[in-house]
Amino acid sequence: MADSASKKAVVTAEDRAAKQRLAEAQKTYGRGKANSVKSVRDKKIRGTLKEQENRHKDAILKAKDAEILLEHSAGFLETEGELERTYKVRQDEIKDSVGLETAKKGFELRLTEAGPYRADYTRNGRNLLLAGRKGHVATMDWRDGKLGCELQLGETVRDARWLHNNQFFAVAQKKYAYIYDHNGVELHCLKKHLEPLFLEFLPYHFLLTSATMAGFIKYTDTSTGQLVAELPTKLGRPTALAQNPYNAILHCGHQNGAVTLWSPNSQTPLVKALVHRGPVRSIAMDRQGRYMVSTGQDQKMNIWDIRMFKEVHSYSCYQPGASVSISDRNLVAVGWGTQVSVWRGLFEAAQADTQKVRSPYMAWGGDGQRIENLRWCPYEDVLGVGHDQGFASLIVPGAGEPNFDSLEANPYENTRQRQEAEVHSLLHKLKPDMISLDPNIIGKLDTIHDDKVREARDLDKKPEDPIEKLKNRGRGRNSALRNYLRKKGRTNVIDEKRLKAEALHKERMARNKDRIRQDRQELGPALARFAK
Amino acid sequence: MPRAQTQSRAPKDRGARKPPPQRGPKGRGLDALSRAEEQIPTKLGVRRNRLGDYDDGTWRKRPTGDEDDEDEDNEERPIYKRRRTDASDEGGSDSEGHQWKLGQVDSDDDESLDSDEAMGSSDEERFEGFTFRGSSSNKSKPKAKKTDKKKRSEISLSEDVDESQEEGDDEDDEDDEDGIDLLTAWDMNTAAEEKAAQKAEEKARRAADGEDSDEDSGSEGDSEDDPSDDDTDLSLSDDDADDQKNGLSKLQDFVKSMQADGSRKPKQRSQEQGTPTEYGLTSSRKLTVADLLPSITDSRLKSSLKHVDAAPQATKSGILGKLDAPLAKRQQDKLDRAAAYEKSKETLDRWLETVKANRKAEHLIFPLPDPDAQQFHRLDVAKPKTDLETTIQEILVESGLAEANGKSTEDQLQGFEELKARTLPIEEIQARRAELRKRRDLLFREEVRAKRIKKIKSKSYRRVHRKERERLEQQERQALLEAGVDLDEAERDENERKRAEARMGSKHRDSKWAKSNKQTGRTAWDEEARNSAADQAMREEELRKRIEGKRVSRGDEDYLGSSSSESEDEDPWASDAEDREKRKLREKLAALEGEAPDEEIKGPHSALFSMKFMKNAEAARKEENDAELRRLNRELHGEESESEAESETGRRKFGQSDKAEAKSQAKALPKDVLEDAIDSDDDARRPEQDVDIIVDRPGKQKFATTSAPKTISRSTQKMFSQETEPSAEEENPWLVQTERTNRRRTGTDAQETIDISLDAQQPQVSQANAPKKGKAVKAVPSQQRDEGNDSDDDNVPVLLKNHDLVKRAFAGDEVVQDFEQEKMDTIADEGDKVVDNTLEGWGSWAGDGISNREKKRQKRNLTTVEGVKPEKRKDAKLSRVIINEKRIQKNKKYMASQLPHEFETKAQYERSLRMPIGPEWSTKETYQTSTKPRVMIKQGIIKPLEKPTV
Repeated sequence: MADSASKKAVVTAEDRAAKQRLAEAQKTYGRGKANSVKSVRDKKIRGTLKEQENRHKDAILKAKDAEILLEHSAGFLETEGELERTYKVRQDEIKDSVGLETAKKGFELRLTEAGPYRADYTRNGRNLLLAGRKGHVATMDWRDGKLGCELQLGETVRDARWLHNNQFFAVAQKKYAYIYDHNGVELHCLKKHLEPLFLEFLPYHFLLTSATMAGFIKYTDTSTGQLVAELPTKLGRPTALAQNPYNAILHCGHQNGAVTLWSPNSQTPLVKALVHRGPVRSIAMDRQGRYMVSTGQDQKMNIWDIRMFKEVHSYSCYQPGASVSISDRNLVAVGWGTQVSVWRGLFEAAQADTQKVRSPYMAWGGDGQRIENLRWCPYEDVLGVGHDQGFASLIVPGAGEPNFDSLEANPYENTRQRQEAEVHSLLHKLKPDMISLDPNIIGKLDTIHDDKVREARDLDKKPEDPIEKLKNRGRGRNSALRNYLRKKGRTNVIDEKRLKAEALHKERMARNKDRIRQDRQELGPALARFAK
Repeated sequence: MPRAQTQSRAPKDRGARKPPPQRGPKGRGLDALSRAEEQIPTKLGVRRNRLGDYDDGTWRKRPTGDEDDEDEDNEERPIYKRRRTDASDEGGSDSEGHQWKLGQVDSDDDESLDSDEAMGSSDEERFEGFTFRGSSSNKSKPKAKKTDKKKRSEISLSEDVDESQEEGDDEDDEDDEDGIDLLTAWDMNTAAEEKAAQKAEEKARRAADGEDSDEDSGSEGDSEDDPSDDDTDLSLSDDDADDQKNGLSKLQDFVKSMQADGSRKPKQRSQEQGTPTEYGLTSSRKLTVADLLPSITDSRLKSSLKHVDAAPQATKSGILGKLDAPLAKRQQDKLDRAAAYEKSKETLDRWLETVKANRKAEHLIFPLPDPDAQQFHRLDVAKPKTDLETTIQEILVESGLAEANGKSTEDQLQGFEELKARTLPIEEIQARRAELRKRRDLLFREEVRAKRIKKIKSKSYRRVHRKERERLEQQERQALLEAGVDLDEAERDENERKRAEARMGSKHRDSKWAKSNKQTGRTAWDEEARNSAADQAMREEELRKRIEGKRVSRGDEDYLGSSSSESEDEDPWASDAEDREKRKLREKLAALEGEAPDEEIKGPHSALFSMKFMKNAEAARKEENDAELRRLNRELHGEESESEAESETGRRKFGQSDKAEAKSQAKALPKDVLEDAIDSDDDARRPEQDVDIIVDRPGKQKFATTSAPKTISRSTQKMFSQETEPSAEEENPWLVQTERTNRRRTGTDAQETIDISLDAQQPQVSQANAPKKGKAVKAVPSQQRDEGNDSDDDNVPVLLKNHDLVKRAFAGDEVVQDFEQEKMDTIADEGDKVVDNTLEGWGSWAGDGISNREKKRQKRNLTTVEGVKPEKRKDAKLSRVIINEKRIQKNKKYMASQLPHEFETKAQYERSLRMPIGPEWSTKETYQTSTKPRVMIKQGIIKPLEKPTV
């Protein structure tokens, strides 16, 4: 008996554990609240819904269980004492303390001739693309230090981007945007992208986008080569361009401090927000599409919640932030002047509505190299900094996603896998029409149309009674009812509506009269005349 | 076929022989023979029965009217026809009859009608009255018929006949058909028979000619029956009897003559339409020897017929009983169909479970798994088969992970225990059991306690108790009444108290009268109103005082000793029923509270119980229960405090609401407040004496502090402040809360500045504030934080300067104004729009020379296109954001245009889409299960599902 009792206790404990596990799984992998099955009348639907919920639950539990396969864990640089500061730790100290292979990831390239450099990593973080302002473009496998190709274009290069893999990259040159292959052979000249300033590539849609000098945002499908959309910002020369990885919406910064949100489906911006006083310098969105960090000429770094479009926090800089970038694990790197500072927990603070974060997590610079561009290397704790003296790769512990998903991006892929992935991604390519602020819109119910359909289908629906509507609108001499009765063209038509209206009117009059009479009585003979 | 039968049938044969050639052209008679051959063995039986029944009905009905009309009507026509034909052709009546019939049929084109169809639902209704009675009821019919033939004909003639014409036709057709078939069949009979028949026919014809046509119709039924008679065994036996009995010859003749009469009738009948052959069939069956017996008056004859009478009777009762109530074919078929349907349904229903299971099944695999094969489950431990398995097993055994014999340790233990238990005496086992039970009780003591608390808490429990209380009260009153105690006084008391309570509450104050007084300010000028208002105020005041007085006395009571429950019960005020109940509850709670875990847990598992986690769990559980108890307690007292508070609010309101009153009683008021304060002091003191009340104190006090009227004098305020001071010194959660919200606001306003540089001098303060980086923010107390913020602003003059500079630098841009303007424009653009559809010159003049006044007079035709209302915009509350409200058409094609079938609501549907199926978003297992096809067919022979048994 005691055994059974204890067993029972154990069982309940197990139950509790299971419940807890489910709750945890729900938190990380669950997608919204479950439907309440009890309220459903139809047996069949109830059955299917129940089954669906069960499958859902099963799926999230399995996903939770599969976490065991994530072999790497994330961690940050932590201080031992109160007086220690993480931002005081210098790169060489880090390099000394980490393993040799990791230490190799921190390096610096001195490229003083070709002016400020912009950098970009491929989606799997394997390859690096460097583009110097004065026409020097180079690709490299940065971990091995192998140079892929090197181009001296001999004209201004404003931006460069990898396309879907390390085989192609686009360069925004003086007049047009060009596409080169990994050998540095020019493949295409995109003449429609006239004088592009910034480039972005939407990997799931295969769209190369550029913000041009004339204030246009252009979308080109790189798989078909067609120009998909050309959107006029009408705000002059754009100052920043970034994509929201969550919903493939482009955020464009402007001279007047506004940030506009664009999709190729709308000629007008989806959202326009006044983020800064003065030109926007740089924009970045976090991976989950919740927050936008922008820096402006007004020496501010603003954090916006782009679900509600509200500013959450605002930080001040000593110099305008030239570049912002957000890592996979929500570290925010800001390049201002010659310095780079990395912030940690900005979004947590914003979410918890607590105070602003007071000190940065990591810092670098101050050596007279003006920062041009910052990029986080995916799946690595590495921050690439492009500056006017070349390029620096910094080690920032805890920056990258420790576990990669080879179905998404495989840092260790071989040629075959790369080819396979390319074909797969082409097959799964999304149409530009699917881009919307809410990426879950696909398959959702179009409520407006549905309502219409329902209305059309409902034959028993009673027609709206116009008299009912008139009943409660206005009173006195100009009430809607009187107006209706008075209106020309209806005086000689005696129909049901009119009779109804008349009856209603009569009733109202009688009531009014009654009230006045009562008032008169109450007020007495002297004051009766004031009754109204 | 017996001779007698054939003979008796002969006349008809004769009559029938002629028609075929005539009918030849019609193409019906050609295969009549074959049809007859077909039908005789099978169909005839059925038909006969049916027809008999019909006939029965008609016979019955005839006197009543409707039905016979058709007969009469039909007969009438043939009469003059026959007259004509008789003149031209002797034997023409038969043939003519047929001809006539044919014409009739053709005209109506009724042949296509099936018997079932012909008997439509309306017919069914009509024939409802035709109960299908046995022949016994018809026994006397022929005679009766004969007697009133004439009369009937007259009646029928006089009556109008239209309605059933058609119907009669239908039946006739059918009859005709049958008749023909039979006749042709009979044609095949022997010549001798024919001769005899011919003779008889002639005789019959003669008789018929002599007779009235009515008679024909009357005997129709009989004649019609004949063909069927031949076939029935019953009639067979009858006829056999006839043959044997010479004495019956007379009767036979009589019958024959009747049949002879009828012999012509098939044709006539067919002419006459109204009476189908089938009728005749049955009625003839009914007209057996036995039927005729009663008509015999001669006693000798009677006696001789005795055995004849007896024999058929027996048979009759035997077989006729069975054949007694055959249904019309249509109805019979209907029943048959219903039965067949039931049967088939039953057989099909056996599949129901299978089908259901298959439908419900997520996946189906064909060939279906053999259910027998599934039953093979391993019951014993798997024996290692291969070498590898044996080695592994050995290793396991060696390492003690498995038992050699394959039994698990637990099983062994259990077995061992069982063995032991067998040897033990029963008392010992029981003792052990008891011990175990006790331990379990100890284990779940808290749970039990929680249950009890819940019970007390539940409303139903209270309700039950209230009911009980009421019942008790009722009984008490009854007892009092019986004892002769005058209840009136008590009643009055009660009423008065109720009134007082009403006055105490806001009922009177909020009455219409009072409100109107207040609104109109009538008291200002109306003497009467003023007086009454003052009166009310006075009364209220008085009441309040009384309440006060009462309360004091009550407090004293408590003070003196609340344990004397008897005295309390007697007190009409204190012994309020609710109080009593509350007290009861309180007692219960106290009992629960008192229940302390005084018992130390002993026994073999005491170690387990004394382990920390067990203790923790126990403690947690207990704590929960205690909290619940406390809450309950508070609730109980809270109710009291609430009611008190109510009265207090009432008083306060009184003071505020009527200023005139307030003025007049300005002197009194402070005193009241003082009193109140004292009272509250009293309250404050009280808890020391009464433990229960302790709980409600803080709340009450708070109330007093927060809701103190504004007109309080200084002294009282001081008093209050004294009281409130300590509470302020304690951390006031409300204050803290506001502080936080304040800070939050500033946070969102983002006016404070933080330096993101690493400059060592600048962030000094913040560093000081953040002792440890990880929990820097949360750990810092709010006040300090505030200071930090302030100091931040103070310490960063450079930054501030910069900001000023920045502000100045961008001052001229008017960006914000432009933005606002743009927003206004967008709102206007996306909002409601008025479209002017007025056509110039429509219903008025247009063009040059039209004065402005005339232009204005033209009626405008305006329509509003609804857009997004400014207040409903997504950016309505966001000053620095413009959100486009236009629907993006291109996105629309990826949306479901209407709710897909099966789903009832949008939420259900969208939930079904929430979990992605692809391998990128779920584990492999999930992916595979979610993409598994519903029906899987494996290679092999797929046998059909087996028929379910049972």
